[in-house]
Amino acid sequence: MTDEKRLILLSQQGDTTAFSLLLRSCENRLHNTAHALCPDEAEDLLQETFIAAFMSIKNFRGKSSFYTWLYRIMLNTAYKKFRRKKQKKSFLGILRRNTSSDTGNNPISSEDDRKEKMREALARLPSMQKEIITLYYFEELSLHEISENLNISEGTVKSRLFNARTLLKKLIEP
Amino acid sequence: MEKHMNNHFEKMEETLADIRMDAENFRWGKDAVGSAVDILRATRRPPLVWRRQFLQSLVMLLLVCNMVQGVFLIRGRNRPQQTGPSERGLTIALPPETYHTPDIPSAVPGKTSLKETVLTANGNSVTGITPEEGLTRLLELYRLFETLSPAIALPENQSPSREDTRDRIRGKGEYHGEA
Repeated sequence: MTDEKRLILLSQQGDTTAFSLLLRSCENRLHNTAHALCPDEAEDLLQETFIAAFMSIKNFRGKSSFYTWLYRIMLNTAYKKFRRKKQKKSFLGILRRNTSSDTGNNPISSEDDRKEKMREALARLPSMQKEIITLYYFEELSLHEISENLNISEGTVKSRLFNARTLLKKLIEP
Repeated sequence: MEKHMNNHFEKMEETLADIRMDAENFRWGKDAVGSAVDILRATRRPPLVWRRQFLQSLVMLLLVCNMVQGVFLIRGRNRPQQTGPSERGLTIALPPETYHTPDIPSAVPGKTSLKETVLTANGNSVTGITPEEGLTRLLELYRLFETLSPAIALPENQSPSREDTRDRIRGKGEYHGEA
């Protein structure tokens, strides 16, 4: 039995020390995606992901690697967070529109807007395509590495990536 | 085609690369793993302690219930021994004592082994009687048979066969065996 499997078994029995060791092995790899998806609350996102992972580790059956499983939880948590943030933002936006009129032609804000738009579009992607995009662009994994991580063929990775990019483009430039 | 496709997505990929650069330059101030584990420990400890205590007390309760049930079962088994003759069974008035089943396996007096299973007057079997006690009861039963009229028959399931009966009541209170 590998160390990871042993740690997973211990975590499933409620051992938080074993669980923290498991998380330490994946933590650095999750940083980029966490920040890319939720720059303002990246730390909170990671923390929430880890808590959610511990709560549902009993359901982990080892069909994929622990990292992939954790990564999916993070994407879902980010999406939930994003929806909450969006609701809050839309409410604040209405308030602001009523009080001031100039949001400006500031280039920095336009760049931020572009990024924010991209994050919004990413959140709206189906989970499989979102996973591919984040692994490819934020984690910088090769097609082969992605196929190994997700247990799918390289051809499937390519087609999913193409579909994801097309859809993302549509969402950004309607 | 690939080149064209890359150009097609160029602007979008630039944005994604910018986002990634921002992420790389970000300084992480908080230990996410440490804080998550701290939260988990703080939130999960009380339920665990509670659950453990609850399970321990449940186990104790089950043990006590099991013991009480055992006592009642033993009492229930012992009760028929103390009761008198049953209302439904025999027509003859037997003393409220028990008697042995008539099948005694060996004829040799020294090797006679009595079964410990004894029938009570109402037909229930009782275990736990010593061989000496059983022998005296058997003798008492033979004496009782002598006094009875041969026309009165016992119910089939409780009576010995006719031949056996004849053999056994031949001697006065003594068992002569099958020979």
